[in-house]
Amino acid sequence: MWVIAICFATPPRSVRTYPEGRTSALIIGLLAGLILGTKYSGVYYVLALGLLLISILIASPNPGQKIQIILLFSGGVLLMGGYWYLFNFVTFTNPLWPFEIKIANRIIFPGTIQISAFAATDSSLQVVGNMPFWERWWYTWSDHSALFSVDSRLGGFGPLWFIIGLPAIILWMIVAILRCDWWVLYIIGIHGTLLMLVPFNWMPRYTLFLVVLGGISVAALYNVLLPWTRLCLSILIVVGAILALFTSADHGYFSVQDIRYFQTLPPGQRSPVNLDPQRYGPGYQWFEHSIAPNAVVAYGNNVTLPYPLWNYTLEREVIAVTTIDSDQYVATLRAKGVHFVFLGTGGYQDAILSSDKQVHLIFEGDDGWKIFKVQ
Amino acid sequence: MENFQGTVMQNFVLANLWRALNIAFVIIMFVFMVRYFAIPERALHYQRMFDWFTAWY
Repeated sequence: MWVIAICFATPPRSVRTYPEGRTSALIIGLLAGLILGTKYSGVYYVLALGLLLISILIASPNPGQKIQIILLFSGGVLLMGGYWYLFNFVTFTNPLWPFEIKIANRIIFPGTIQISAFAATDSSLQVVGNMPFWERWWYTWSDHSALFSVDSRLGGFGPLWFIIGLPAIILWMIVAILRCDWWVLYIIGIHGTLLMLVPFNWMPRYTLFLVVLGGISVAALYNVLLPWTRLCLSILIVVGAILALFTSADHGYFSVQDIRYFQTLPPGQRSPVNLDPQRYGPGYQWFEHSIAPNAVVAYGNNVTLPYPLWNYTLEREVIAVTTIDSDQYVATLRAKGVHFVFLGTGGYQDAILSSDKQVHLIFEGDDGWKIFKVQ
Repeated sequence: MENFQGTVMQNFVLANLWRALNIAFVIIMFVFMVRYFAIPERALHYQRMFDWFTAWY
């Protein structure tokens, strides 16, 4: 979606027929909306694509058409990606609930989680926390981490990006400067802006668009390189692709070894927790062994991975109960027939449940998880 | 990038600049490749790759 949007916003000179500005703006808006609907970090992509719209606005002939272009872009974004943001705004008066949105120390939208506090707790910071931003990029891109995880915190993009994509972008940029090809610099500039904007920008999961830029750079350069350079590039692409293929097979979130271990377990222990037993500590383990398989379980706002709460037959009912109203939280839990609540220590819901007489704390692990029983 | 080769290679200065950039590009790619594969943490990865290959062979 990102690549298509960029292609529509930066028409190549060799293409004769091309949609006019308003059509392009609508298509870019729809694509930006799809990205926005995928996850919260999509907001930054919409801002970056909004910057791309400037080129279309400059090319449009009159003020009336410029307004139409802005409206079509905004309409496309809202149509494809606005629903949950509007829902959050209506329900919690914050489109990005539960994150608190601040601009210049002024709270624009109140929430229960501060983005800076959320970012400061990330486990990757134990390794790269003291590095300046460019060293963080270098560290993850050179793939120091031996293990790939679902969050891909310190696992990079693989050899194709680091060995080929990154140098290709640099060369493409130099060639563009020498040729005064401002479109190329514009595209690279938008990617650079987005890289600076996104949170956790050393984590590849938030910066996958860089691989796209590397691929475009290789495609743009391939036919203009000298023959022997092209030969070296081709050999490195093949070697890098084979190694990347092996890495993706060997370093999946659930590796071959993990699946073999899971197969050796008796059927009653083949629960989601045991897919990755080292990841889930005392809280999840106690929950797995002590809570009845047919219980109804609600998980708290601060639980990011609810799947280990299912039992091995996947019959346990696991539901999200979100609240900002302390008076209604317990009543909502009871109305939904919830037997147990699983949540992280120290959150808003933890405070409500800890002070309620109808709810009892039955387990508190040293890994930060609490389990409450609803009477 | 159309007609890039034709335009550049006709000019002596530009042709040599382009050759120098090509050489620099290849050197950077090889330096990055050495940097990428020389990381100690990847020893286990190589061992597994070797094991996979020998098991398959």
